Amino acid sequence: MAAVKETVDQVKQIDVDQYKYGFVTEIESDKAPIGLNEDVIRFISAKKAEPEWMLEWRLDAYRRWLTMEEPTWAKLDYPKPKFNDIYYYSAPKVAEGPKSLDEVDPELLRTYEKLGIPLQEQEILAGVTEENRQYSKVAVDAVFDSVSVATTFKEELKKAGVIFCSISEAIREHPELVKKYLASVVPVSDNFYATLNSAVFTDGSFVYVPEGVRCPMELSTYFRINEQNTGQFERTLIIADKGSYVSYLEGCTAPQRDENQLHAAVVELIALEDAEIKYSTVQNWYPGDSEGKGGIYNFVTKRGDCREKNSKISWTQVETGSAITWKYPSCILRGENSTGEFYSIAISNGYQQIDSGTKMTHLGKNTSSRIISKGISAGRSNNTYRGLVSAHKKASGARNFTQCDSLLIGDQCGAHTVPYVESKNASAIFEHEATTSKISDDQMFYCQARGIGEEEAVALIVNGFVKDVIQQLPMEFAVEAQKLINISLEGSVG
Amino acid sequence: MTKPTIKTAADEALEGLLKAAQENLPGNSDFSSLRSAAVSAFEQNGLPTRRVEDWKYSDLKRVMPSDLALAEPVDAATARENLSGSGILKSVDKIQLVLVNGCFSAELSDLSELEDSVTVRSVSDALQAGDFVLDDPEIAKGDIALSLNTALLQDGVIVEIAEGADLAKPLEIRHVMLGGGLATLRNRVVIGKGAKVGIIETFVGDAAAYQLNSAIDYRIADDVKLNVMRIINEGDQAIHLGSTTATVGGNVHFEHFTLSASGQFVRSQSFVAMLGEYSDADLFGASLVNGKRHSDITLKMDHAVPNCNSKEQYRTVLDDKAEGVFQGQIIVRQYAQKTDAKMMSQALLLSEDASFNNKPELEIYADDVVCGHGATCGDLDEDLLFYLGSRGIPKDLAKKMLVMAFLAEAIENVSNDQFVEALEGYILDRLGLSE
Repeated sequence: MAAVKETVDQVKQIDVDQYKYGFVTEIESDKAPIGLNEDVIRFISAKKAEPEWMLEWRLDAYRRWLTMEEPTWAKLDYPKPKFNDIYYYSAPKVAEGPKSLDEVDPELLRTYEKLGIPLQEQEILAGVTEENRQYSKVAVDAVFDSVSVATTFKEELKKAGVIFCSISEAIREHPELVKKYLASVVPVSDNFYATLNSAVFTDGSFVYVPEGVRCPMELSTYFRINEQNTGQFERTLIIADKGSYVSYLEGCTAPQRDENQLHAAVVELIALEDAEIKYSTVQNWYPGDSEGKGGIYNFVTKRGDCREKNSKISWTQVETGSAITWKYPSCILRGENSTGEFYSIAISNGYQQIDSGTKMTHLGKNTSSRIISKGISAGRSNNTYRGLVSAHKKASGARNFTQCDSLLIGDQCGAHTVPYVESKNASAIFEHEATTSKISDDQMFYCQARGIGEEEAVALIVNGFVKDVIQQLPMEFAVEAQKLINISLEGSVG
Repeated sequence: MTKPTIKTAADEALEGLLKAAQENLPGNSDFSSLRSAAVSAFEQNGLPTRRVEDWKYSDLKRVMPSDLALAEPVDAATARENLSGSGILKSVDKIQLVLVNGCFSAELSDLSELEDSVTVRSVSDALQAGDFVLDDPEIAKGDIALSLNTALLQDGVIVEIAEGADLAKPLEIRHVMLGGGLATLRNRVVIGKGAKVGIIETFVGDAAAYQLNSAIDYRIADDVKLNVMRIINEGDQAIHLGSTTATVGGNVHFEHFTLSASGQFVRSQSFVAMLGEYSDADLFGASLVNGKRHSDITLKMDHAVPNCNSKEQYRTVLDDKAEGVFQGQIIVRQYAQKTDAKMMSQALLLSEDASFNNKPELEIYADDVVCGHGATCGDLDEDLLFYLGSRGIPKDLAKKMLVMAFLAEAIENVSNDQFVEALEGYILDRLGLSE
């Protein structure tokens, strides 16, 4: 069909080559020696002014990591990262932590401007009227390479009792919370990349929302990989105490590089009784050039623990970047009546490979989960949904609904679905459905019969295809997500 | 990244058996080299652990006994005594080919009743003559059950059906196991262009602890209509590893139904390669699993050419401490445009201790296709039970009726009414519903 042919051509033209965030910010940086050994870990720990227990914890993780092997089960094909050719620590040189935006390196601010990150845009994004503004502001804990350099709205959050800071600061200032919750969801030796992260993580965000508090604003972190050859290993820990609510936004872009860059993050969420955490991600790292050269390797371990009854964790992700994505945001549904949700849009183009999905582990009674996954493959990419839904013996009344839809654009790409459904409880009711198709001639015909042009029709259909997930994004993010989808499939989406 | 395999007693026992048996097995030197390759592959990898993806839910290493011996030959007279006329498809008129403990028995088979268009010979003869070539479809390559089959292959039956034949009665290949031990066989059914054929594969055995590694290879030419009924009704202590490979030509209608009715550990795996355009493959199945039994249906469907349809539909009922597995994979290759493939696996759990693992997989490289899969699992619908209860039907009976209705939906897909009737009769019997 002509329209699709055209679309494919257009997608080919615009695809990853035109990555608009491909620039390098020249800021002097402070690096650890290249490679990984115990001394590098000591260096990182010292740089972060960490207490002794944290260093021991890292070294223990490192020793365990040495005995582990890289997982090979994912449907991904890539040259293995050379772990000894990576800088594990790289920080912009700033004498002291800035107290306000004025103190931040202007070069850095310009970078954010290029990215369209809402340090200045927040207010526009946040809402219409002045009086509402303070409730919908976005607090940004910006991670520039490995160190948080700008934390805004801290004071305001403090009033609500919410702790929102970098993980390094939390290790120093709130060791009791960190000790209690760190690695309680993703154990140190959970998997190869999580263990590596435990040994070398350089920064990330820490959020604690106290009992009964509804966090007054959406919390947000923008990550940016900058220095050449730098692995980014951030670690995020979010705790929602009884009856609290927090919504967290994470978004990423990275400049253009030839060498593959490794990214292995760990995100842990803990929801106590009646608490709710909403975690939204927009990921748009460099996907490699049109020949599949370069691009970010993204190996992420994200897991939420609905630890007590009536808790809820909701993951929403829009994945458009990275050469390799290995990511399974999961929920452990431990508390009675707890709820897990996973909404995902994964768009692959060029030579990108995505192996992503979720795990819903039903342990408690009457737990429920919902998975909506929309995959769009174009170019020569491969896009795999891999998910596990399991009910353990005591998970009476567990309920899951899973829907995975894939859309193929072009005949050189692949879309795969690998669900695992395991039930050990008779009263658990699990439903799974998946479909794979292209934009059908009938749909196109219908639109065109109503005077809608070919391109517009494709845009309309793609938008309709991902609508279920876009609706789940917080308003501040939905705008950006829509932009990203347009960039990723530009030409077909106007 | 191969880790050294930790060998269990079962691995050692099987390895010993593999080596000891080689001398006495039939086959020319070409085949012997295939066998020794399979033996050395086993030496290296051993039995699959749960870390091997294809065996993730069926732990062969755990169930394999450490005291393994080859099944002894049984003479025809003894076999005849044990060959009761009963069976799930007893009401169906058919021509029988019988294999006892893995060996083809001409004496027990109805060779005289065969139509002229059908020729039958034994695999051991073909192996001695050097004209039994193994060439499994791509998707079956590297399978551990087939590799063990090659290593220990004793016998089997080769059925050749001439072009254009229209068989009046279905052919039944009946596998009988008596007195325990391990038997390995492989059958081949070669069907000429335009033939219409019905095949029944039946697996039965006594109460002894035995193990059967059986494979069947369908070579289906263009324009064929083939109906296969596969009835797994093994003894209570049986380990059944059954593989089906099929290469399907153009414009074929291929229907395949599997009933997994009994056996301690049953793995029924099918590898189907669609190699000709405009063909349909309908693969259905029903499994009834109770006690501490384990039943695994594994399926790989390879769409290599455009314009084919496939439908896979399996239903499993689990009771007591039974474990059920469904692993289905549909692969649509890059050139297989206009493929329509649908897979559905549904399970009903009747007891607290039953479990079911479901893995329906899609791997798609072509864009102009319609593919889908669905999977459900749960217990009986309370509303339906209440409805039946409100009409005066006792709860126990109501449950059975619902189980029957659940399985009947899978069975109704079978196009031959005689088979449908026989299968429904069996399930009614088993549920204690027949009057």
